[in-house]
Amino acid sequence: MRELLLLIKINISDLLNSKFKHRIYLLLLGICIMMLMSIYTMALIKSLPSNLYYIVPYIMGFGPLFLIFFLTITLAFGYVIGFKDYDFLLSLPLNKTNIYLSKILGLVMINILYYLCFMLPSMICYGIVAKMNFIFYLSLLLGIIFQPLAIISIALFISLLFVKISGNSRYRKLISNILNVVFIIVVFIMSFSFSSMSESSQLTNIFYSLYEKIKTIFPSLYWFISGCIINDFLKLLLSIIFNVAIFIIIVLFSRNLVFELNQNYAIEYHNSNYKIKGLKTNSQFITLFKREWKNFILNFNYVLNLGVGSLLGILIMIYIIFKSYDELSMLIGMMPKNIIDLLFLLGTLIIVGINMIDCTSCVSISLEGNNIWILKSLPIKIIDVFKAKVLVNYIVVFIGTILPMLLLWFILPVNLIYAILALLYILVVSIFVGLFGLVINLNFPKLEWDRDVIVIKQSLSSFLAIIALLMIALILGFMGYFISNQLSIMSTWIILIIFMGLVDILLYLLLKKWGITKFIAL
Amino acid sequence: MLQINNLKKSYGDKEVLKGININVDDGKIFGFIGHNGSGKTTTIKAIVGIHDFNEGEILIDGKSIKTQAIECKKIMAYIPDNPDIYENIKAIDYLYFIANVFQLEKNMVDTKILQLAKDFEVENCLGDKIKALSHGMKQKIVLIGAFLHEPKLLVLDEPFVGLDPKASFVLKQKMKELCANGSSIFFSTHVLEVAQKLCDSVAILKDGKIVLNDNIDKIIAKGQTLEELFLGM
Repeated sequence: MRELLLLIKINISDLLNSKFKHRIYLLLLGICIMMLMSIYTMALIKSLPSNLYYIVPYIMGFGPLFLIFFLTITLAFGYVIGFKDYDFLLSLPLNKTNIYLSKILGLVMINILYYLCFMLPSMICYGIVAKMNFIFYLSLLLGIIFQPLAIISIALFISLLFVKISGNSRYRKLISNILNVVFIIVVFIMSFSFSSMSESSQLTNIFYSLYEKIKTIFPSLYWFISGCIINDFLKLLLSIIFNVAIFIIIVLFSRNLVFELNQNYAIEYHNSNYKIKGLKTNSQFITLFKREWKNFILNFNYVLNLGVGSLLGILIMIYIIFKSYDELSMLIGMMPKNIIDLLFLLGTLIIVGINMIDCTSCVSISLEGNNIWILKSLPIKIIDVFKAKVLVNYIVVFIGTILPMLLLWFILPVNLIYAILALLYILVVSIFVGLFGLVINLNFPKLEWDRDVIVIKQSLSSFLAIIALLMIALILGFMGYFISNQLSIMSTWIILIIFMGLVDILLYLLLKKWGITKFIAL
Repeated sequence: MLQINNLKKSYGDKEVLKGININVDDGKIFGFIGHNGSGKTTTIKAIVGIHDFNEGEILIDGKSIKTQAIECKKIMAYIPDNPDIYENIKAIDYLYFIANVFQLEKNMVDTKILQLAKDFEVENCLGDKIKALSHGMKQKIVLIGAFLHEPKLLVLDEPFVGLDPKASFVLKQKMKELCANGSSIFFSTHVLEVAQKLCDSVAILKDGKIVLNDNIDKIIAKGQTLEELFLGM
């Protein structure tokens, strides 16, 4: 126990002793999430009749568990497999189980913090509205930290299983990443049918049937929340025991597997019999772009983590078209032209919004790592380095957006001029994502790392950029909606394009002055 | 102190160690030399229990690293080629962590840390975060951590890389002092002059096989330097 506490202490110290500025940003982000969740919970409560208020905590508790499930699957690599201090810890006289437990507990603590940020405000809002007693809050505090344990363990086990299935081949990382992404997409698509299983279009009925499903699929969440609401300690205890038991079983079962996988992870393969191809001459910018593109396309973590939004966007569009093409065509046939134009505008804003999370540039400087001296010492313009990084991001977002946009045009046949305006909008937003990501990364660079996955999945820059871009996407969506209420659709398009174009110019100018100075100082 | 018998290790279908035999007596310094990629780090990581191996046995003070790993590690210290440690903690916190892992006596730890820090000239950096330190400074902190519990077997992978001349000198002194107290040292190096001056015995590893394993005095007696021997292989 002493050994385990020692390991946990050093892990937490290493994790928390990051820059003060970073901690403040993370704190603010946590507060923002909590505020948003409170607003969302209150909106949900207001949309329901008072006799159904009790289903709100179940719905609000299910979402964060879903999020944690995906988060654990993506975080397992780096926390439990291929962790930085593997060699160091194994050389010390420490029990392997303690090393493994300390790593898992690190993962658990991060996920519990996420869970608390999402779940606690919702439960408190519900408690205030439903005028719950003191025992409700006491049960909540006692049980909440145990709730994510089972889902984290299951997600971890699935992730380990994928690494195991990937075997020892040279393509193991690719196979493991593909398995993760395919699994996430399958669960994501399944959740579509999960949330739309009610035949009724009434919101109340949809929420009620969701509550009924949660009871069967997440029994421990049901026990926990109903235990809190009806002050039933037995149910609360049952939910805690269930979560802890699953956690212990999976930890014990996977201990040896984790060390076996970590041993295999250390193996690197060599390409033999390579034949030199000869130099193809290019301009400096093209050379930088090619290097940047290869860095992206040959890094499977990079592609599958930051390019997955595009894939999801395309899949959602295809799903909607195949699932409801007849209903959609009938519905669209009955709509007036201005509604179709509005739907096309809003649809494009949503598609672009989803793809805005494909920000490759927000980690592109961090990924230079210790090799950043190469770029800094070469006779090249730093702005060209930035342009190359932005161009790669532009291509990723543009490719991911253009296909769903064309599919949307197929469903909503608007005038060619609107399609061209949509194209222009995609262009300015794609450039914006690249420029914005670079600004964030220059502010929060992480050049010391030994596994690129840590930068791609777990760096502050990647986290902040994705959250900020999601918020900007929401703001743009609302802007589009409100402007179109006041002005014509054509004017809305033009205003949005000019606005984003101006933001692009401002960001470019910022990078040209402040960005270059910041880059040199790295 | 250290006995390696017929050590074999493969990465997939690539055999990197092809039956290594090494013996390091108590109080002796053993130099491990080889080309890049010959298997030195793999051997070292197997000795300290980081890597598993396919065949053979490694005994530390008569105990197997495979079956009695913790007992072996308690009397051992390892310095990696790259001092890759917790970046966000203070140097002193790292040293306290090591002291706690080896359960050192509380009242002795501070005095010892200060003495070693003074020897390696890092006493002013103990309160700094590790990421703020240079490669050489980090290396010195890791070295202090290794000497802190007076290991019976010290295993070092390229310990002189990144150290300034004074620190290299101090390290050599410390290595000799440790051996004078009965401990043994096993280290890999590319600096052949250092190996020749410092070691009691050396082994040269080539393509996963030991091609020379001899007492340094015997090698010198033959009128050859280590460099000549190494380049001739």
